[in-house]
Amino acid sequence: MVGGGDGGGVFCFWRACYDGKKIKNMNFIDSIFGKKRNGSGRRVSRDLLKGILHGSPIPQFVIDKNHFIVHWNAALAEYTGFPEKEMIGTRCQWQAFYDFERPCLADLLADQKLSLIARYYRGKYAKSKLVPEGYEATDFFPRMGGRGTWLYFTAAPIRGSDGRIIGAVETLEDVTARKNAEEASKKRAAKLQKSKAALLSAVKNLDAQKIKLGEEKAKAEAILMSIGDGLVITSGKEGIIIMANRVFEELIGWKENEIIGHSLFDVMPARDADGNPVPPQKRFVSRVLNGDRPETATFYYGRKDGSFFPGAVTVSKIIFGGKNIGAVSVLRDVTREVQIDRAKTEFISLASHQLRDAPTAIGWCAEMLLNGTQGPLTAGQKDYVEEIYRRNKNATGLINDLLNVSRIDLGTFIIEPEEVLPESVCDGEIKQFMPQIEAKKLRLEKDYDKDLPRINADRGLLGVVFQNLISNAIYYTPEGGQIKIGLKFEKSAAGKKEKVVFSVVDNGCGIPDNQKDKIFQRMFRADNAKIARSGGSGLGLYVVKEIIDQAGPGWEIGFESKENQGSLFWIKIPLSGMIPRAGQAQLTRGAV
Amino acid sequence: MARAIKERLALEGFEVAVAADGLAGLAAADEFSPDLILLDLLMPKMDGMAMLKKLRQGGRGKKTPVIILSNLNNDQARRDSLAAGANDFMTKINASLEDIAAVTKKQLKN
Repeated sequence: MVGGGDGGGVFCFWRACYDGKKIKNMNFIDSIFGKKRNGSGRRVSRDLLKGILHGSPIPQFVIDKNHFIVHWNAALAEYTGFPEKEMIGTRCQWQAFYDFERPCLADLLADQKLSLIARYYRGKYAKSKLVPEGYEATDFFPRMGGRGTWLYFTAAPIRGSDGRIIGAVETLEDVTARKNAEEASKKRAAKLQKSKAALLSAVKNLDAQKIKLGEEKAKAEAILMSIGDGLVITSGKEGIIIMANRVFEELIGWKENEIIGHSLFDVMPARDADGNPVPPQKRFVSRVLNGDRPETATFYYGRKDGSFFPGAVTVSKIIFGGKNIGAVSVLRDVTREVQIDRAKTEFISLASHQLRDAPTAIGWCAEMLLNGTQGPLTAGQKDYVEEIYRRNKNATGLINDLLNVSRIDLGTFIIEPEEVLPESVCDGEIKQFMPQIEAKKLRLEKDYDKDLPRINADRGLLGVVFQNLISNAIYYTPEGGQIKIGLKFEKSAAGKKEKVVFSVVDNGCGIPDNQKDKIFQRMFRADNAKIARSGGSGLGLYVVKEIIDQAGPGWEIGFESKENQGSLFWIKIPLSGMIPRAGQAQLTRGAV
Repeated sequence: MARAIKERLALEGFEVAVAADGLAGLAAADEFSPDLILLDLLMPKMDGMAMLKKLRQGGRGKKTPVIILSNLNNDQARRDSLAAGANDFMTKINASLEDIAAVTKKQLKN
């Protein structure tokens, strides 16, 4: 920096320079351009030269060896806004370009302070290739031309005839437009370079991600392909196959490349258990995308060769970015399970038939003997035949119990609701037990509410429930005991009739406290019950509980009991009744 | 067992013919033109379902009431029987001879 100071200082300095140091003696001009008095030819030459310089469109100025401006041409005056008459004879050439006093390139050359050129124009100058001893530089002048100006300037020393330096000349060229273009071009190039680098980096990243994704995809595919069940991924409600694994290929006999892009519904038709085709809108792939919950069910699916196999399919929708984009179906061949199930059902059906045949024949034969068609029986014979009949009836009940349990376990018992009057079912059961009630001299009390409604319930199942609870009361109440059977409304807090409560109260042996939690378990019999009655199966309450649990919403069973004092069993029957259910067989009356 | 039913129904005044299998049953149905047939499902030579279907195909037994009397207590058997034209279905083990006589009389009244 030369000069320096703040803005105000520079301003003052400029004035001092302008006002105080302007020289009056113009002799040095003559030393450069030649003296006037040296003859007219010389003057012409001097004037011509001055005229040429003055009229040159190239801004330029000349200083003498003491740095006084001896020439400041019109182009420069116009360009810088500093008129010639104010500049000539001053050393204020710096003012046209800088905010502070410092040497211009011409000043440095006039003094031959070549080493300072590097200091003032570091990185911006070069030796001129055209002008001997000349130097050139390009610099930006922020103060000039509004938004700053780029100037290319060339300066060279002026030597006198004796070879000594007598001054220096400096010409300027406004290269802002070019420089701006260069800068813009540079910026563009830099930007381009940056973009290129960013692009290259992005491509590199993409490549890396692609490789990573590829690896992950391959891994995911390998996992999907290795799943032990058939797996097919479909898109849209049309079920267009986009992927299938090997097990799926094996299941249906098509290769993945043969079915990609085809509808699953065409490739693998489905039939229900009765052999009816399942339409596409009822296929799980469609239903799941329609908002149904993922489901599992068994249908019969078609293979490439036209055969069908039973398959359990589970379908879930694929949600990506908040949208349902398809479905994934997992398919398992359940031929073996279906065979086993069928075999089991057939076995139970056949076994039930075979098991029932003998007791049926025994029962009927005993019945015939007792009705006297084969001649009268002696009292002793009658006792024996009656015992055969009674025991056979027990065995029949036990067989029915066992079959009921197997049907409950298989979930195959039917619920067929119809309008029934609970009291008529209850009375029907009581009637069946009257011989036992009378034989044990039990006091039976019935307490039914009036106007009990018809309830939509399976008459047989309701009968099985009532029968078991009534028979238990009879079996476990000692001779001369009391049984009370109730059918009463249960009302809501608002007094609305909501349920009918069936209850059986006895003053029998009761249930020991430590065994109450097991009372509904299959084959469980309380210790005191085993003593009171040796022949029970422990299946009755289990069957009752299962029926109540599967009858529908609102059905409840409960009990209160005190050992050696008696028990109360109750069933809450909602007025809504039972929910119908398809199945394979009806439950039948158990052991009585 | 057939004998017990025959004797029990005889007590009610019915004339009863017994056939040991489905084929004999068809022949007996054709020969005697019974007012009612009690038919078991599991029988040798021709089972009850096949015999029922034959009966319902035409001929003299087309409109004869048929009560299926079987120990096959499953819904399929019951549904198939009624679909094939049976008038009632009774599970043998749960039916006393008394019940069979009552249902027979009821069907004949219809």
